[in-house]
Amino acid sequence: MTLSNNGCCDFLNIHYEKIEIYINKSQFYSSIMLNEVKDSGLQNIYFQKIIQFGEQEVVLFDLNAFIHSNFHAVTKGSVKLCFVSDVSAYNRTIKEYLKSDIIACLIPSSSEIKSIALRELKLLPHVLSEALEKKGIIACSLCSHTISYLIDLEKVLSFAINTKVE
Amino acid sequence: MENSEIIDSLKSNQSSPPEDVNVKTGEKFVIVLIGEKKFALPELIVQEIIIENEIHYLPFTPHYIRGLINRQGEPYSVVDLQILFSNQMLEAKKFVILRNSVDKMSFIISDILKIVFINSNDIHFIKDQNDKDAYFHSSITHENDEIPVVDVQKIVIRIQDDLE
Repeated sequence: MTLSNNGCCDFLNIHYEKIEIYINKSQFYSSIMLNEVKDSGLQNIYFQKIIQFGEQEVVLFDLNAFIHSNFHAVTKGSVKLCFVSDVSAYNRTIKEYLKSDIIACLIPSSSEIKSIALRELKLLPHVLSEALEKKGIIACSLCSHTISYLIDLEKVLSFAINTKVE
Repeated sequence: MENSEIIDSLKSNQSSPPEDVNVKTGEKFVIVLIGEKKFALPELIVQEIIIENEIHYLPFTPHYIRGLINRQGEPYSVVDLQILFSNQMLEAKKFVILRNSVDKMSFIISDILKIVFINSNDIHFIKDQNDKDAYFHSSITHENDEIPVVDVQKIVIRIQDDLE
């Protein structure tokens, strides 16, 4: 994805009470509504379900639960939307864990695509930024009573997989 | 645009870190109240005091980092020294913004008491540190009070160690 002429970039904007989450639009390529779920057999509570995507069964990453528990975010509305990402270029840990090049991520249904000017994003304080970047938080934006966090899906997946949450 | 390009773009727009401030200890200090206790900060490292800013929760950080506040659109970390010193959260709404545009750090405080000039005779450097002095490099004597001077560098080192 290229920067538009007015210095903006497209993000998936996931809405929570007082917190917004941005995910770069280049990190997913499709979306589906939550359909019939089955157990994945994986122990990690964020990866316990699989859904049907076309003719494939793909692991469902409960990104909403991850954000809820780690960001103390309160969900707005229903949680039935999934975006689909290609993880073939992601690190080996992720691909070996999922045993697939595709993952679906569960998010609140009120999410939308939003064009955001890069000048609205700020790096986190230097003393914190490197450590937080490893866990997937790479920038933020502050507006009156709301904070928005730009997260990196690959780093979030790595962190979620490596966190013992069973 | 990939996230790595976004990060590079944001870093290139960030202002350069200021030249090292020659902090002349032993001159002016800002005395603040944190809970019931007084602490001092060298006046040269204090940028400003702000009030009533909402603290936004920031995950994956040590418990003494309460979150982020918005200072003119820039995120500043909020360090609760009362949690660091005595494991008790401070209920307060004032923040000391430190003069360091790279670290963007603030301390939450109960109140700012005064700015005072301290003679060098009344500044006592701590030579042999024990645990309770771990975050102070000196103390000042003012109106019969012995007030510890917070060593910001040690706070930063503690944060870095805890984040590793």
